[in-house]
Amino acid sequence: MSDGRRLRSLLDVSQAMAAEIDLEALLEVILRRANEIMEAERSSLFIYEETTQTLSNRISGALKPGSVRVALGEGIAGHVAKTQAVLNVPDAYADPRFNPSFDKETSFRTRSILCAPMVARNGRLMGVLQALNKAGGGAFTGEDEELLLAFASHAAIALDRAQLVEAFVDKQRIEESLRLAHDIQMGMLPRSFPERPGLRTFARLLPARSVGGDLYDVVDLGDRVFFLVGDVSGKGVPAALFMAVTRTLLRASVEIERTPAAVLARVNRELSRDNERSMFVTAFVGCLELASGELQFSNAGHNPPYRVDRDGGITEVQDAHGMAMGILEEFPYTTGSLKLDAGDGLFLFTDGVVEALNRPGEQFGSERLMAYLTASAQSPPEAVVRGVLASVSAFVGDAPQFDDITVLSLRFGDPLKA
Amino acid sequence: MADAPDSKSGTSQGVCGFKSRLRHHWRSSSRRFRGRLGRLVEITAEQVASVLVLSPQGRLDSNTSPRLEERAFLEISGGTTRLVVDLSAIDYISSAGVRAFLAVARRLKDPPARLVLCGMAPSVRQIFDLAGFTAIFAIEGMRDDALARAAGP
Repeated sequence: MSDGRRLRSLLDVSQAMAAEIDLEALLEVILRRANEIMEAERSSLFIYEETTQTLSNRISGALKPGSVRVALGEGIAGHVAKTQAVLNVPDAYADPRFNPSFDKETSFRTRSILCAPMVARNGRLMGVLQALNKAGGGAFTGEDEELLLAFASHAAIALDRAQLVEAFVDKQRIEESLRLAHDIQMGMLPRSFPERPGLRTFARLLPARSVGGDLYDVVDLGDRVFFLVGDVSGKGVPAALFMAVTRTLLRASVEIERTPAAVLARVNRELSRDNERSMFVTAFVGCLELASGELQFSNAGHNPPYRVDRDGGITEVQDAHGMAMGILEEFPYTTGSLKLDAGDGLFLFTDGVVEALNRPGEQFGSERLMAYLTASAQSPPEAVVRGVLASVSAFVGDAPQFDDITVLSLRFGDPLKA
Repeated sequence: MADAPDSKSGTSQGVCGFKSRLRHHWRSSSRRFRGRLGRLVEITAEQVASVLVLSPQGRLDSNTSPRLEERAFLEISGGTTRLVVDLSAIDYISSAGVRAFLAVARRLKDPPARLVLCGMAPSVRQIFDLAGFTAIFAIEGMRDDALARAAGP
């Protein structure tokens, strides 16, 4: 091949490599074209792994990819990776750095080697490219050195880009599975609520982008209705799994236990056993007697809910405040009680509501929340919930949502609408 | 109960009682965005006689608290039994940060092992208070008191 043809060939290859974003296919292209351009019998490519500081092989038509691993400085390839300079070895077996074991394994006889570093942006080492056995039997020339170096740097840029694309695709795949996990999680929360004369409830969870650990539930037990809001420590998959366990335990416990304190004690006992990671969940559990408006409640480290009277008066429900669940197996939860009159309600929420931030970095805060609750004291729970979420959304604007936002509204003695 | 973004503490108010602490927490309205990712928590370590003092700086949230947890576990594996964590340079802690302390306390629960926390800002303390965990940690205001408590018999 004339020099002109080889240069044109290099340009062709650069274009072919630039078009290839699939990592495996790109490696194939690099190896095949390296053979052609260098007029070599065989080419091999070592990919540099930054975390382990080793090179692993991709040899055309021979050893299994990844089966050979060399450290920086080890052998011909390791030497080039370390010095980041091209190395021309006219007689491999005369060079002490040459390791003949690959020849033995692949029944190949290496004579001459030309080896160049693949360096991408910011001088980042991507790997090493080798051409073996110059056609015609002689050594590689100085022109070959320049050509392989040019080829290797084009290949490095293409490889860098392909790795970025691959990392991006991996990330998207993970995000997709997290999104599915979140959908499953949301499916565990009720979307419809008991419609009973004398009680109306409504709740919603506005999920943050990542999976989190908020939960709510409303369980109709005939003469009384249990309701709860909870929040698991941290975020991500561990929080989501812990939330799923908590929700299942809570739902089972309200059917067994009579008082909110007993419900929390039971769930806490189960969660505290073998909780190696020390995850915890806060929860407020209430139980309303439909006949009397008598409300019992117990709080496991959760932010206190608001009692919203029909005239718009608001008080924090602070009693019976115990420890978050999952840590101390025998924590003695207590039950508090209060009496609701017709038209009075309760508003439960997670800290995602009051800690929601807008672009300038201000919190939605409890004052805004209380003002809204006062103004909507006579609205049905569904309107209250939707209204609170709408005013949080309006406040936050296009700022990212960092935490799940959960609200539950309940009103006693509301006549059912037809 | 995930992490709120970076914040500056609000106006200083009288801190007395649960309710006012909560108000203080939720009404502090001068929070600011700062880079959430990539900000690493700096941890300095100092051996004072038999006690190791770890002093994390910045935020303890779901991104940064694993570093503190790993560091403490590493020290415990290396033989540390008396540990003080000085929180005076922590300006924000999320529930994930609290969980890290629970995990470390769990590893140091058998006597003579001991974990003592000190230097909590009010905004940090109220996170422990709200979750009801104040009672299960050994908490001191001053570092010297924490050292004495950790070194004690």
